[in-house]
Amino acid sequence: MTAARTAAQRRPVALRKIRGNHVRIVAGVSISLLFLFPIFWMVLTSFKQQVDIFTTPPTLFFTPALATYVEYLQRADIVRRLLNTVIVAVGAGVRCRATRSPGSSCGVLTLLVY
Amino acid sequence: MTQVIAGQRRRYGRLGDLLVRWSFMLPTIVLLMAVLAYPIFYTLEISFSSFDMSIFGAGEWVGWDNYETVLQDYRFWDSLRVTLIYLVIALPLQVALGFGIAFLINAEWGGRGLIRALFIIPMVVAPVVAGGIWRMILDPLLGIMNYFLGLVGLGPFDWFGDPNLAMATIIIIDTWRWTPFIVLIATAALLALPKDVFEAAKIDGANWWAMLWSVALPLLVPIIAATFVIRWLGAVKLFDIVLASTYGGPGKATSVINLFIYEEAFRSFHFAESAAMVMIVLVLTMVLTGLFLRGSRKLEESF
Repeated sequence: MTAARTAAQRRPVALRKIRGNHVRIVAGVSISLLFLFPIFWMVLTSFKQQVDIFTTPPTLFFTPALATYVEYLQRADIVRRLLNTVIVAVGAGVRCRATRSPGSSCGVLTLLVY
Repeated sequence: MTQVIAGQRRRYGRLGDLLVRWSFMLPTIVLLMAVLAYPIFYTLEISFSSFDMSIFGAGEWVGWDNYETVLQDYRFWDSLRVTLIYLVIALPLQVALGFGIAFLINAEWGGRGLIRALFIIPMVVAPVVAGGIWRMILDPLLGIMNYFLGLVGLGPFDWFGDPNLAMATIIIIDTWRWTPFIVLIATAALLALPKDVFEAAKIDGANWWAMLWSVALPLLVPIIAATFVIRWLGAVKLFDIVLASTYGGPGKATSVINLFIYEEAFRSFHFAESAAMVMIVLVLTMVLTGLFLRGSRKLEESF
């Protein structure tokens, strides 16, 4: 116990701190990547063709296609739907502006309401 | 300020002063009555009446009949139990994960801001979309999760077919979606911790563990308690993720109380019973929230 402690004390404090920091950074980045993977996978799938989506094992490399996007843009009534979203968000923002207390941020609230 | 008020009082008299003050509050009161009080009292009325389909409103007054029916319904108790299991596992998991991750991503380096910003993304994804993404990832045949687990020799899991696993799936999706929110709060809390206390502890020879357990944690307790209450209020409303991913299945394994009420009301048209359930859940939530708030205040005082 005492030997280990003196050894730890002898090691430069700054170095230990830096190493701890590196461990934290690596762990933090890996967890973030883990949390972002579903998003990444969604974006990836959006560029896939029907054939590539339903394959086992799931493919990471494929010939990307914009067909889905083109089809969606042609079919969906985007402007109208986007307008609906904007109306709701702006409504929430305006209400926040009207009733906000000093120091609170309306941007964050609008985000949360959304 | 007081002078202004005193001046007003002289000009309008005591009654007039009150009138002026209330007139400023009137818009808020009217708004709250319209969007908050009216729906609640309307639900209350329906819960004590038989629902009349022909006028689509409260019919005959039946007293506590609806409540009796609901309390004898085993499905109601089942869905309450399911909700409880979800809450008991998901809430502590999310709060612990949130603060842990916040500690990790608070490490000082160039990409810290970027990581912090990226971490918010799961929270802003619409719940239905989140359910959709995870349905794709956890698909038993084509999903990438089973593929990865297969690589390390873990057998194919039927994420949506097995009752216990379905619950785990819901908790995973919910944790994925809401942990970033707690990370957001926890990051701010960790940055706001006073540095001098830690320096004093270091000078006194505290090791890493003692610093975490006896210095950081007591300072964080009020924020952890507050986060828990906020998250609890969000978690009892769990509905959309279940709707989008398992729809209460398999069987009734993930049929949380809100989904059950929704189905009873808008699928089976048992509006009166559903209203009774809503009132029971509302009272339960209010009582528990009160208890949590009280507990968190006690915790704050004892540290």
